[in-house]
Amino acid sequence: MIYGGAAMLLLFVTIFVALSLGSSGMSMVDVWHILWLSLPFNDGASTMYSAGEIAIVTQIRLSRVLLGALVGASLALAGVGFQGVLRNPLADPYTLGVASGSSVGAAFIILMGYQMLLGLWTIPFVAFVTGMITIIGVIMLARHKGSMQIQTLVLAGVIIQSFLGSFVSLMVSLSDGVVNEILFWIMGSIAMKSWEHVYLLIPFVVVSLPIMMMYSRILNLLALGEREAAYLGVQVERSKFVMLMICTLLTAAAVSVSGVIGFVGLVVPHLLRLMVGPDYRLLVPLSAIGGAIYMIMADTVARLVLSPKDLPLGVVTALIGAPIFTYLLVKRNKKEGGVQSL
Amino acid sequence: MIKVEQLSYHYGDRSVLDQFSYRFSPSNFYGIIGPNGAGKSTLLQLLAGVRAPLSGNVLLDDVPLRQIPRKQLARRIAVLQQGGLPALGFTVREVVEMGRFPYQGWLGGDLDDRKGIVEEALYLTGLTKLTDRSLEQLSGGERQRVALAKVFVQQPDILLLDEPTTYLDIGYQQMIMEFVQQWQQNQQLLVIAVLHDLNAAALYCDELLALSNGRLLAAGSAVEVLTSPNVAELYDANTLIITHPEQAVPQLLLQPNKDNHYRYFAGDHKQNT
Repeated sequence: MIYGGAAMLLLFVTIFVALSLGSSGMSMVDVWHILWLSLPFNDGASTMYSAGEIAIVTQIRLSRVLLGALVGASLALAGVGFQGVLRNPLADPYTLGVASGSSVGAAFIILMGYQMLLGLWTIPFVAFVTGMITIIGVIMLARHKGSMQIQTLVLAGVIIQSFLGSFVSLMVSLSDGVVNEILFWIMGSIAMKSWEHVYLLIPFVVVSLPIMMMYSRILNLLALGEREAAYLGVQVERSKFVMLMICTLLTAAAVSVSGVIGFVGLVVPHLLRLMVGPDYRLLVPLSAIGGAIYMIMADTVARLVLSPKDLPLGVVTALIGAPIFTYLLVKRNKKEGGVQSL
Repeated sequence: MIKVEQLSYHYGDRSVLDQFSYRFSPSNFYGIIGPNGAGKSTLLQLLAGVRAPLSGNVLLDDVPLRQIPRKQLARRIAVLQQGGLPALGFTVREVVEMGRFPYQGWLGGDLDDRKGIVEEALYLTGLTKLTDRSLEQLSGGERQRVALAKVFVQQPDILLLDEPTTYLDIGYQQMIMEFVQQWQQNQQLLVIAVLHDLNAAALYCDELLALSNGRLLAAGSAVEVLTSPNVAELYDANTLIITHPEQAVPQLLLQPNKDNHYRYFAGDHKQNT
């Protein structure tokens, strides 16, 4: 409870700071005044501020911060879920090849110039579908007599990932003119998105979070080993399948709107493990909050450092995350002299 | 209580259980002995319901195991594995509480509220002072005690042991076996233990089953099963069998071979598997 309260507080502070800062030159007071006046029971801000200023705050900045929170929460939840089921500290939302599948779809659409075939939603839709097809392929590869071997699953994921990755590279090399567009999509960004993207992600997070919290005790038991979990009454194969599907849906949804933003799904669960221990009953909800905080912070840095130019978000997440993680790891090893374990 | 009918199992074309049938009755301590690869661990996994028989049946009170939901089964049958638990960051108390999983609802509340059982298990296994340590800070023997406390809070009426004392020093071996024996007698458990240590099997089990090549070679009391011909047949080992001076059960001593120590590798050795 104490961790949850602290994390929620930190999330609100982060949202507050991220909304207040920007490259437009508006003061913090103006920003919050506009937000206040835009609430449904007020008259709107149009009498005191220009339409441009209002749009920057309510259309661009607010939706961007909330989208960051949702993408971060989705990726960190998927990360903690994959690490739990695969019992592999190196697992992240992309281990089983979801992101590679999505990238192939998106790169193909961009290369062929079909971006507007279904309007704004062409790339997200195709990326989502190709991502899901990929994971289904990986699971079918790893299935043997009705059960999934974790090692086979990870291997199949890694192989599919590099196989599809080479297609993406091929398409990047074929498309001199639009190289940047494909690469930028792959590097990930939550700039230039709209409220529609926010609305798209909300149901994924809202449905997945409680289901994953219900499965958190099962993730704890799986940490003892699959057979031990089965002896304790866990339906191992079914639980693994449900968790993999939920995490895949979260990943595919996040990737389809924001591209492949790395490091969040890997490092947020580990940062939390170093702080609160291995209990998934804490790790699952805290990962959602922590992922949101982390992504908002990284995105705020990404849009401010070289403003008005945006840095690629995936670059920032790793640049901030690696030193923090290293610091916590060293501190913990000094304290306990033990080895880091999952 | 547990009835095994015509059970067969094979890995690829290697048969490990061949038409095995047996009836395990309640409140009895069974020991299963036999050489490596004789099908002992496979049999235990089949009895626990985590492995499906390729042919034949395992019946719990006349109901095939496959028809019993996993969680319900975990309230009846608990398994203590060899080698204990992995070195995790969970504390001793957290892991012991995991043994209550079969009795918990979706939200984690205990349906059969027995709060005292966790404390009792920690006390009986001597873990009271270690409750807040994490598993990675414990020795192998201490971790096996945690595993024992975990199966204790599961409150099964059938306990399966898969070489529970492997890797442990004799102090821990004795502690584990006597804990199980006491528990078995107090609560009238059915205990089925796969054991490599024949002396321990003779001391603690009511009845021994000797498995060889997936078939039952002999069954009965230690005196009936642990005979020189049986041991030679099972393990191709040269042993001297004496009687325990106080317990009146057979105990085995290894009898070194006088000559040709290379015979094991020279093809002269009888195939066991």
